[in-house]
Amino acid sequence: MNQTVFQALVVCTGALATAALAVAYFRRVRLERPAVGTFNSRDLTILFAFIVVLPAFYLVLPGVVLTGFLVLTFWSAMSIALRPVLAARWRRPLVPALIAADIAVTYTLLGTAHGLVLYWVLTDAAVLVAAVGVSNLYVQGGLTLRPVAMFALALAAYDAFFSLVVPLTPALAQAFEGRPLNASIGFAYHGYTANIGLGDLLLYGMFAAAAAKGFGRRGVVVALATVGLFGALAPSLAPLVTSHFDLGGAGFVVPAQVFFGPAAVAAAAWLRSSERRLPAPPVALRLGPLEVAR
Amino acid sequence: MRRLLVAGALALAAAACTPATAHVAPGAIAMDHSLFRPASATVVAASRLTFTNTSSRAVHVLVVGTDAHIRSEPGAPAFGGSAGVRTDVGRSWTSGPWRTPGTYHVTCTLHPSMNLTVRVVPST
Repeated sequence: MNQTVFQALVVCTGALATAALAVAYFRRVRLERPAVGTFNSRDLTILFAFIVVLPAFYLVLPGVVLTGFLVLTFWSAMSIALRPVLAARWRRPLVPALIAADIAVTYTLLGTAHGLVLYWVLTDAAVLVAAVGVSNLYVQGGLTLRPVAMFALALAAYDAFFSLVVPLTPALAQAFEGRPLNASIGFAYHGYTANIGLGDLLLYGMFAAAAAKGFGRRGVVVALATVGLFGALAPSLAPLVTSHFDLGGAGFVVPAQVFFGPAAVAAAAWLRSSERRLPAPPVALRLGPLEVAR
Repeated sequence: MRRLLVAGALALAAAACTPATAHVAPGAIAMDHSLFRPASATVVAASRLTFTNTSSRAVHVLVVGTDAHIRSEPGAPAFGGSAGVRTDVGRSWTSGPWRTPGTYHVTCTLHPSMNLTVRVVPST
């Protein structure tokens, strides 16, 4: 097994697990929505501005302050995600315990093979819960598939520029390496290492949950296929085709959105157009049992 | 405003990406983001090596081994136990004396491409 195969396995697992869990969470759990109305394209524009500014901000922060920011971010994101599914007596100790364990392992066990595995298991758990919860917050708050796909396309342009022209995204990935709460899902084993960033995973979660909301089972299948093929597999294998995508050799997959953005827009358009072609369901099905009874 | 933001981001990125200098003194090993400089060192028995993180961003966790894979090499000095030797940006660490002649390897558990070969020769 070489680094590319390892990278493809880790990144596909992380991306698909996030997207599938975001869908499962969307179907079974209702989040307490903040009293801020519904999320729409304008909120995505604000989020995009944050995504543009935050990496540069993170790079100039001292390590301790950066860790402080990450602790606050993960604490609140995990609390939001776990509140509807875990009683307070379990959730309140669990979230800080997970964060504390991640910090402790980072500073005491990274010189051992088992310690490195434990570091990634703890980090992956925190990132997965955060990505699933926050992506659902947006989708359950009103965001639909089309704006999510357009957001992915905008991020594709951003990702291409800040990875291939000005290497800001790889620099950020390097700054997170070996620090507590590395904002990515990854794994390291036997000298191989691979990871994919929280920003990418958040988008995959939003895309899959929005597809489930708008198009049901068919939307989920298309979304998972798009995430797996264009969000994970294509960017993992791209360094085999061109050295432009071999950005540092530490196993982080950037720029993933270059592949996923256009594919997300095409998948969303295909779902909409194919839905229009489907025959209209019988009136009884469209109205549902309550309305029919009336 | 937008141009200002982009210009600011570009300036920050350019500053962050300035390569570290490769000039090192004898017995000194520099670590940039993904390489040791030099990649091999020959030392007389009982000498020490000083590792300096000259990278602009990356943390390194030094251990005895190759390709980020920890290996036991009897005769090598201790490298920080279970924590490895964690060196933050700009920090240095000096190893214990390399007492036993032979060939040893040092790597970083976070960066598989970082491999240093240390040859220890007997003192005359």
